Amino acid sequence: MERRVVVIGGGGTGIAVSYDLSRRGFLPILCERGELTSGTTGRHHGQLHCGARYAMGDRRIAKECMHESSILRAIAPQAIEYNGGLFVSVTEEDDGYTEQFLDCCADSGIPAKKVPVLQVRELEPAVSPNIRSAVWVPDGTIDPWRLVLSFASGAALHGADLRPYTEVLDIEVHSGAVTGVLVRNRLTGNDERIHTALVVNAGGAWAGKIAALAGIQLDMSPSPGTMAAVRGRATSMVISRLHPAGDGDIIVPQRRLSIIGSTQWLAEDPDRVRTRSEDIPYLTEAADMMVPSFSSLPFHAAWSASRPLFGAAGNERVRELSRDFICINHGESGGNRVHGLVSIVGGKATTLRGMGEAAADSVCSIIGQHIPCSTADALLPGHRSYYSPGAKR
Amino acid sequence: MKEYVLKVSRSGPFRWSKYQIKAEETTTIVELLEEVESTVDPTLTYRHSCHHGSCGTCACIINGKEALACRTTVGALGTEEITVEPLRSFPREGDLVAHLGSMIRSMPAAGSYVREDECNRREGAVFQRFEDCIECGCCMSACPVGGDFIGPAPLAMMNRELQKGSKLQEDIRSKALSRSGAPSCRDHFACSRACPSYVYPGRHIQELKKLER
Ligand SMILES: Cc1cc2nc3c(=O)[nH]c(=O)nc-3n(C[C@H](O)[C@H](O)[C@H](O)COP(=O)(O)OP(=O)(O)OC[C@H]3O[C@@H](n4cnc5c(N)ncnc54)[C@H](O)[C@@H]3O)c2cc1C
Ligand code: FES
Repeated sequence: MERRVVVIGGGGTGIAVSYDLSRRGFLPILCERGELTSGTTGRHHGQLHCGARYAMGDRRIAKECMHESSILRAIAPQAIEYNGGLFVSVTEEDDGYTEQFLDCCADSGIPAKKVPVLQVRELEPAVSPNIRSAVWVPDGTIDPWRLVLSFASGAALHGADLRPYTEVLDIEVHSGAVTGVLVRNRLTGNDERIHTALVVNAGGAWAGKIAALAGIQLDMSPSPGTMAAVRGRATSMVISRLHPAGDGDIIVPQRRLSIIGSTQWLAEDPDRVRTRSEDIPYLTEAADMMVPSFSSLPFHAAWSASRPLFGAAGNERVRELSRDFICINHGESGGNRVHGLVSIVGGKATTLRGMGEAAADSVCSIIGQHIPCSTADALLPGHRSYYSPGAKR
Repeated sequence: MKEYVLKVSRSGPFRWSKYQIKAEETTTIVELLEEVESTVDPTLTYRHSCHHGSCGTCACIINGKEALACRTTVGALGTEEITVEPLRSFPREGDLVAHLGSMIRSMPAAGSYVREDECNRREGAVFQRFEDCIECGCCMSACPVGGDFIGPAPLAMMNRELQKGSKLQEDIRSKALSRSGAPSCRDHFACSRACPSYVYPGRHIQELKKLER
């Protein structure tokens, strides 16, 4: 069996792909041009999505988030703070939304529960006294770095070769099939040709640029958003607005911080994204609608990251692009075909394991072997194992 | 927008690279490094992930002091020339890339930010909080003791584990109180001054010193 697979991109997706492949007996070589998770993954908002946010729009994504978040809670408890979440309605317009929201959660298998308004302030005293209704959902907080490092530890302990600071410069294609990749070790400056017939593109917002190296057109819409953190845990649960998903409507507690996010725009180049300081007052005011003390807490940091949305859209329609993930076997679909190349893009940080499974399934189908996935019920090692002698870091 | 000179210590043969760069007062050092990497010098290597002081990867020495590059703004530094060097007391892998393995391996295996039995409660979650140490290495770099001293971060973590009633009490205690543990601390408190995450490791080491051997 062809065992070597080059995985491009060391965000949550690429690392989960490498972990899954290594458990199925492959020898993944993961190439990440910077530190692991230095793309979008390290910078996300930190919400373990149970799917409630998507229940009204896309039931499939909601179900998938519910499924994957339950798995992550079980296999990586050390990287997840599971305190639940509250959706709160704060305006008259939000009112009509509550019952519909509960129905959609039920349809998606999310055990949402209405919480009497008076009880909310007992659970979370900082939440606005003016809220009109509240719903509990099984959301949580992810430590992005430690969750992904746990996957990396698992991959390395199963023999994956993880190479941070390794940039893929070219994907070599001969007679319609992948034959190798050209990489640069950015720590030494040395270039190396890795022979391989199998490549997984897990390049997130950069996946379009990476696919282009193999002559494939993959439309991505890098869509950045700003987040702002204040010092102090305003709440222990994730607090979201009970209304159609929009800007500045989720507060995620993490360590002694509270983080409000996010905004959304469209970027031409994910390498040239500037954090919009003008978003900060907008975000903290929006947070105050749910938690009135938010903007009075000391400011801690503001930053941005690019969503890896699949598809092409104009700036006005970028919110309409799906948050679903997509796995493409480029040997089977698209105008220009390249055998041995798989792209796995889109999705959420919460769905990394599922994305790893989908990409590994696709690799198995290319080599015509059925090897089952075994990542859903195996406890992951802690993030510190990444530095254990067995993991070679 | 003002003009700054970013002076970065490079790995390999000893040298500094200087980059002239425009930035706002609120721009952070990690954003400057990203800008340099994507527009002028693609060979620059540094560590970063969360950009908000929570993952601990971006620690380096900025204008002579240990700090998180993502939490240091050019405005707060107040100098036109900004020097950036990798952390001391760790092997260096790239320009600003320190390898923190030695510190991480000294940390107690179970030493996590929430106790194991607090993790992942399905029903009736008790409100948890990730613990404060972000394992960035600032305290280790600032500590002047050196030698085979275990160092502030792992010792602080050992003390937390003892306070939390870890199952590995005896093991942790004997490591923490061994010759390379708390007794080697010379009370400089450089660790507490360098910690960007409010752990105050020096205080934990003092508590360990008070424990009976
Ligand atoms: C503002 C914002 C908030 C979010 N909040 C949440 C949230 O709360 N919860 C949640 O579940 N999800 C959230 N997400 C979504 C989530 O962050 C992403 O879906 C996920 O992190 C994408 O991971 P990835 O591995 O696919 O991409 P990335 O993490 O971007 O990984 C791709 C990697 O490829 C590397 N790369 C690029 N080119 C090359 C090359 N030539 N060679 C080698 N490597 C290369 C990049 O350096 C990068 O590290 C959020 C996203 C944004 C933008
Ligand atoms: S990038 Fe995470 S602490 Fe600075």
